[in-house]
Amino acid sequence: MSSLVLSWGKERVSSVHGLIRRMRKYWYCYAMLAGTFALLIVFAYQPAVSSFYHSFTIWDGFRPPRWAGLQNYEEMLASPEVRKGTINMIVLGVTQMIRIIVCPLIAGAMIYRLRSEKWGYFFRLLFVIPIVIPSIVGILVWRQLYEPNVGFFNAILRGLSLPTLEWLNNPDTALFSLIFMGFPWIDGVDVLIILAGLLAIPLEVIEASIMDGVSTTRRFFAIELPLIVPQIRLIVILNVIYVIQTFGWQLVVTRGGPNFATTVPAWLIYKEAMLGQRYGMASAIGVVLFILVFILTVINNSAIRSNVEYQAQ
Amino acid sequence: MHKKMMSRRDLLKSIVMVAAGTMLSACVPGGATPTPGNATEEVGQTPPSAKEIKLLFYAGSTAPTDPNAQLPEGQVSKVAMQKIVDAYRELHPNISVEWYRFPEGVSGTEWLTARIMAQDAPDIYQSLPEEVFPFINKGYALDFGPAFERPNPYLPGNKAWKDQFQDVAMFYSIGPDGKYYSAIMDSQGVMIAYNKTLFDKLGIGEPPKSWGGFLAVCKSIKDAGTIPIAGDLSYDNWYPEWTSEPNLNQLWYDTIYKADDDMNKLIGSKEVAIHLQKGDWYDWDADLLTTRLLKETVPYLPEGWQGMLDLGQLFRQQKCAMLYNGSWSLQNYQNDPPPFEIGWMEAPILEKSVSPKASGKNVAIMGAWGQVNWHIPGYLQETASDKVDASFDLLNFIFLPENVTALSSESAMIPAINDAVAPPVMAPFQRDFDRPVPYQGWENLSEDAYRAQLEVWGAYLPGDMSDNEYLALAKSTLEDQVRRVIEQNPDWKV
Repeated sequence: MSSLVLSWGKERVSSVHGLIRRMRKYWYCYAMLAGTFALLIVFAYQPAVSSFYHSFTIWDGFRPPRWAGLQNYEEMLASPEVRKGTINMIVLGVTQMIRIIVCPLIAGAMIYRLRSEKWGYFFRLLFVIPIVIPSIVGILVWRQLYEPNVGFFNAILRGLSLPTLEWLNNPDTALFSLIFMGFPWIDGVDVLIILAGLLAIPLEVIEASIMDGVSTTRRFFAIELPLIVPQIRLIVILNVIYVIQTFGWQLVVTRGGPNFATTVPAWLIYKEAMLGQRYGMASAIGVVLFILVFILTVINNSAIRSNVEYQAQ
Repeated sequence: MHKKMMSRRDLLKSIVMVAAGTMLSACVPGGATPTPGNATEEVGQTPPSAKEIKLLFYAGSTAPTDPNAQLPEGQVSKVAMQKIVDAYRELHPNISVEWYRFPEGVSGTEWLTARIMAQDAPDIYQSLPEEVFPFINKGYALDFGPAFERPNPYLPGNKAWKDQFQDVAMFYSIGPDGKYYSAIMDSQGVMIAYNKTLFDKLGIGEPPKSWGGFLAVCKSIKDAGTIPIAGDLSYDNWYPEWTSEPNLNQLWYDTIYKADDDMNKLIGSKEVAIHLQKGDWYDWDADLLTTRLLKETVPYLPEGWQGMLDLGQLFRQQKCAMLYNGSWSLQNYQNDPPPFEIGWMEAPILEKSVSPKASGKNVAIMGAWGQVNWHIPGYLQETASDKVDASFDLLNFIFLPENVTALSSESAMIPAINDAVAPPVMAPFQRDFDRPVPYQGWENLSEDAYRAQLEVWGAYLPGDMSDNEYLALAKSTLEDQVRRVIEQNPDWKV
């Protein structure tokens, strides 16, 4: 036993020596990385750690924080606004998963099947161009479309002699209006990611399936879809983080209303910190969201897997 | 000749040294942290220093127009303030002014918080009192009291600068601790703008004076196919507050000043917090009735009133016949007139039939929340006291009656300075009334409280909530808001 420990210790020491030797040899690489890490620590890790600490305090961002223990967390758990916001976030998250997977997948698969390379390039470009438009422009355009008195959607409904809706301005329809925003939900980045995955599938696999008489639909579900699981996993991770963090609509249009109908935790962080000057409470909500994103990422990585993964050639 | 080249190793060493030096310099601590004590230290009677002083001045809407700005059609450049400052510079060549241009799309509260925390706020800055007062104890603003007691050196015969200001300006300058924190030049009012062309077409004639008359007019406008009132429940449009304020103050007319501990004719945040804790002042009957009256206007609001609408556009497009609006809009209507004649009416007076508590008084939404509410950051006394002296001296000069008249004429303001003259366009707002509202609503406690009140109204107005349910929800919500305010101001705890 002691010889095992001794040999383990000797191994550790020699690996540390090896590390030091490598660091001395390539010191300039580490020196250049040090700057990046320093910035990462200052602007990313330190605020996160600070946020974790301040979540246990009452802090207005100006005077020294006062220790409050779990008060912020207790208030958060008891808050109907936080509860409603969490439910809204879950609904938006689930519908977002359906939107960001199904529609870009269909678009990517259709582009992949185009015989003409020229037309494939053209449609790729068509889906990518909207990326350059700032999201705030899209928000403002959709806000105008949804305007209950003079907006485009209600103008169509009136023209068809159908009852109009209040869209974002009614608690019953506000969340649905948020979900519908962005229709047909074909995000350029997601299309490119999926298309890249499809193009990376070895040609031999596809040709073999064609020779075996596999139909297009069956080939898609049995071969192509399982082989682009890594891309789908990436899209899911990115969008989970996006859904949890985003509150652009709330900031610009709804302010979390009407009647908390569009409130999400990210909006509550902003509201508590910037409008209410309650940085301790905002930090507490942020810490909980961080834990949630972490757990979901771990689940996502282990749950979305394929039995077969090919490396791109 | 052999040219010595730097080796790769030496180059990398140099880069690392530069990077390390940059990071170290960024870690140098900033200025002294302001303490509440800074904001109240007396400013000595010191003339401005002879050394070169540059003042960063956020003058708000009275600032001279940026020469590089492209103005919309019909809009004229503002030059009055620049002329005033140029005249001041002739007297004090060592003092220059740089105009701070407020970033577009940024919330005033957030901007102010960020600038004060960073101690790089403009040396004189424009901000509404309600944005500053909740944070007075954090040093957001300097005490103007000593400066008000000194004579204005540019006004012959003046014994104390404060004598220049009308009561409304002085009242609104008082912070929650009873000290003065701003120089206020103008007052603003809120009335109901209405489509006079439509009123004449419908044979309505004179605008209604009573609440019953107001609702009757709303009905006839609605029957004619136009939305009577441009209003919604959003925070940005103030409709529910401007409708409720006059009603609440009429119902509460005789006892509202019970909470006015500092006798300044206003019920401030501290007073609201203290008396709500004591439970000896708030009239919940008046609150409930006011909310019921607000509910009576709901059938006359546009579709989607529970969320945010562009009320100004709905009024201009003649979709809505009436819009609560402030005197600040007069210049806009003058520069860009809508396709109809605009009239202005006062808030309706409640009849005895509405409630026996109805006082029948004409209560006006009028206050010093105008275009000029200038403050000086509290930390400046410690970090740059010569700038403080220069700032007060400059303000003394700007507030001369002839300068205020010039600024009022250019920016369409109702001056709250004695001997200054309002421009003719402000005539609708220069009227007689019994009292300007001393209490606007939950907003007097905090902005957060007003947001919470909107949520309570959002639950009550559209649905079938009973009066008891409303009162229970309103009381618990207000109690929570008081707790939040006490959290920020522990010395207000009873």
